[in-house]
Amino acid sequence: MKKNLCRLLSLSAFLLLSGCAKETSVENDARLLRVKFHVTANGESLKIGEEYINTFGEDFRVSAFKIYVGGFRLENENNGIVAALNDAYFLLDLSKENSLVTDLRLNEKPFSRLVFQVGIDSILNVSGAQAGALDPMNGMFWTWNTGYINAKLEGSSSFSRNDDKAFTYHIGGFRSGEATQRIVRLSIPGQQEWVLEKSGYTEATVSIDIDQWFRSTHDLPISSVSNMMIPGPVSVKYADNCATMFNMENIIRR
Amino acid sequence: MTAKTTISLICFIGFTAAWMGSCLKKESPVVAPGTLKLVVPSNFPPPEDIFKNNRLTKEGFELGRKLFYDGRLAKDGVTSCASCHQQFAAFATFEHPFSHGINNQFTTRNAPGLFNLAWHRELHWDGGINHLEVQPLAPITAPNEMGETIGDLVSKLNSNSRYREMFRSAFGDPEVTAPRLLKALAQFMGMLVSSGSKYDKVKSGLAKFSQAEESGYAIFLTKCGSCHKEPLFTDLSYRNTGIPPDPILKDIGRMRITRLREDSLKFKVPSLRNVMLTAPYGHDGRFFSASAMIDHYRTGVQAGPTLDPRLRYGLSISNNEKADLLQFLGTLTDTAFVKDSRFKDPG
Repeated sequence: MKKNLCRLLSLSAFLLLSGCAKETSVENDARLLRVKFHVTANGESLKIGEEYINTFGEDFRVSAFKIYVGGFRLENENNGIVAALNDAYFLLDLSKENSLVTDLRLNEKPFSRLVFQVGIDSILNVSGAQAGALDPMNGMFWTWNTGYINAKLEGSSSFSRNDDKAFTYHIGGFRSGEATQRIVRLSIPGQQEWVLEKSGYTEATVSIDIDQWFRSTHDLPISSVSNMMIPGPVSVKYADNCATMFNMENIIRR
Repeated sequence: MTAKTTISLICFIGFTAAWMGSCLKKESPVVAPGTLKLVVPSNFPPPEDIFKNNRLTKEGFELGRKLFYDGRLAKDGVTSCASCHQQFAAFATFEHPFSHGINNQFTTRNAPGLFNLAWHRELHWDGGINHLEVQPLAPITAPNEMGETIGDLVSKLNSNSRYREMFRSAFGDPEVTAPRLLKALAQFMGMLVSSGSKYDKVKSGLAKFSQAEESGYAIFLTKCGSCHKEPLFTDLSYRNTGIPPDPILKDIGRMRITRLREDSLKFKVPSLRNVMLTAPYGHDGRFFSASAMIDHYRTGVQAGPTLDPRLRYGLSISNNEKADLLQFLGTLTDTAFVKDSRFKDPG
């Protein structure tokens, strides 16, 4: 009897709590797409403080990796947008596991590509103080030269040009000619189209390959650039490399 | 009753209270904040839309005012915005080329007066800040100014019940967040309008220039007025006025922001309103008097590839003209502004 009472009480508490939370749900009809980001180096999960070797043969250890993603949308074969979440930005932070999981509520139309931006829209760089993922408290904001740091990679390498062997990359810039926001288009692996079902949810795993940071579109060995903390031509190169780091590993129904 | 049941009951009561707290809070009456309006002086152009995403309210303004005067914004708990932006000096630092930050450190540029900021699209000597709301992040976090982190500041204020009450009045929610804090500061700073000088009274027919002021005004219009453009007394542009760079500070000015060679040694044209209250002058405060500043234009302009072409031969201003010019500059002092009780330390 007492046991039942307990259950009843916990159940009512649960109902009360969930009843309250419901108010914040977005669209009644929207389906859930959960994107799990998986940061890798040398083909394995990247762990803070562990040593890896980049494609130039340089050893490196990462102490911090943060990157903004946002403007998620789903596109069909003809690049037509079937669903979009224009205003949502997320700060992926390697040191906070739950930040690497983003829940997107989108409609059910068939799509063949997941598309998103890496970095913050120029308009949000000139519109004053923003909240949420864009809160300047997150340390991804230049205070003396207004603008967001779109991606941050910090760590150490014996190839660093600095005395303390550290490397620091704060990549951003939004002015004409210095823009570092990039669009990433990821196709559904091994399948033409995908539909978000009403029951359960879809989970897409997207890897972020740190090896590409140093070498993909541009060659940026640690031994040549060990610090980059201002907008400009070099940051633009890192942004180009950043855009190639993402890859959809798999997509499954849950 | 077993311990287990008691615990469940406590949990239940706790949960219910939490639920009621979080849900009912919205329904409890929050007094609507009182609307405040930026009054645009009749002789001013339309301001920038700085309050577009920041509704001006009495409560928001008062919160911003309290924050502006509060040393808690700095790591040392003492250095406030007002430490370097003093009302009696039109919110510049009185008689200091550089202001003092925490731990007896100096800044590297002269603190400008704060007024008519709603007309500025960009702030700082180099224009590095593109919105008034995000300006305070620079002095708050600079190690040689207030040396605080935004995270620590937000948590300090969140543990203060008076602040939580004021944030609730201003934003309908007691939680202190960085964007709210910045918006409140922008409300206070954006409301600092100075347009009550003798010059303004003359312009609206309420006063008359003396003969010397009148003649100084004519000299001003021919020699200074194209850059220190009326009625803001700045055209908001960046110019190299031939001030030789300090060999230690090596301040390249606007180029630090744009990374363009053509912007080397350019600094924002400061407003001449309240100029007699904001000495010393120049981006590094090297000119201790208005007289010394004018002398720079007469004889001190250093040539260079980015020098403003208008200053190629300096400015020819005779001693008599200089005396009249100084008289005119005195008419730009807004005594009512520096004594305005709305902008005083709320205590």
